[in-house]
Amino acid sequence: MTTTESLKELERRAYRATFEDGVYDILFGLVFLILAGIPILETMGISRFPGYFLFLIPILVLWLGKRHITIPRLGFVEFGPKRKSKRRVLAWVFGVVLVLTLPLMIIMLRQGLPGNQVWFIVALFAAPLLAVAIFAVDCPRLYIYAALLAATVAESEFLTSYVGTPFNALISFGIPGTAIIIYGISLLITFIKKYPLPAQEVPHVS
Amino acid sequence: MSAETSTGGHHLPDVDRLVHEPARYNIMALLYVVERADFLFVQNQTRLTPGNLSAHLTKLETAGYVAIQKEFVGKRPRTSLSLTVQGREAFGNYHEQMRELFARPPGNATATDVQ
Repeated sequence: MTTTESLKELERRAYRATFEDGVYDILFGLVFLILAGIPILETMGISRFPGYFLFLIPILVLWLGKRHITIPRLGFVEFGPKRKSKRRVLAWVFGVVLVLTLPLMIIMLRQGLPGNQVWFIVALFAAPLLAVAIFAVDCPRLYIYAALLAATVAESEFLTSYVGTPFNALISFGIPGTAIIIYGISLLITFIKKYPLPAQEVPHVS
Repeated sequence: MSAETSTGGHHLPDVDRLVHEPARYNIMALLYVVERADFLFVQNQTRLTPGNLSAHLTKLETAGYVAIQKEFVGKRPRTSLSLTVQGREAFGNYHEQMRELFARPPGNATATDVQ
């Protein structure tokens, strides 16, 4: 007998199935790796600003992964109003972060603030908004990645005096980023094995 | 339908047999907690074969419990499934009946309950 509680569990299980593909893990891993790579650009004498556009890559990976891997194998699902309103919050938060953070960064960089100070201010501004976004996504392991991200920003600053730039970022962001991507790829492989592409056209009912 | 049905000598609430069947119950439960899903998603979650799922969906559609829409997303056909208002009511009623049945303590069987 299914109780109301287990109906909730059924909904949660169906929802969490959409995260079995590891695409969000790969997204987070790429974010870490980009954060590790941006200081290298500065070391090479290139401004770090164009490097921020690299953050479009994880978004593209998410979109392509969901469209071409997840939906053709797992199927399409639209969740109820509660999830939808959370998704709306997510879209708004990302919109606000994007619209406000980019001009803020440009203004600060034009005023000649050092790159790490700009990053710190942007992180302070964006972190609470991103926390809301992760809450809206409702996937427990993303909380861990978010906490890890916050910890590695602090760790990176701490390591600067010991190993200097860009090795601080390479160690702080590169190692967890690589680990998360490997985990994401392993999830993706498991997902592809678990949900093979339907061999034939899905039958049309009646 | 009558209010009660005699099964194995015991009076049980007259449950909707269309919902009561385990495979159809799983389909309806899934569609109850989501707004809509396509054939493939329901198949993956219920672990039914395509033919089996198709047969159950036809029964549920005939009863007016499930709405089936065929649409094209790009060049790909998609069979979109959702519960109708009638289907939601039927599932809710079934759920309520089962809850009442299980809430009744076993020792409370009366002469009219057991024949």
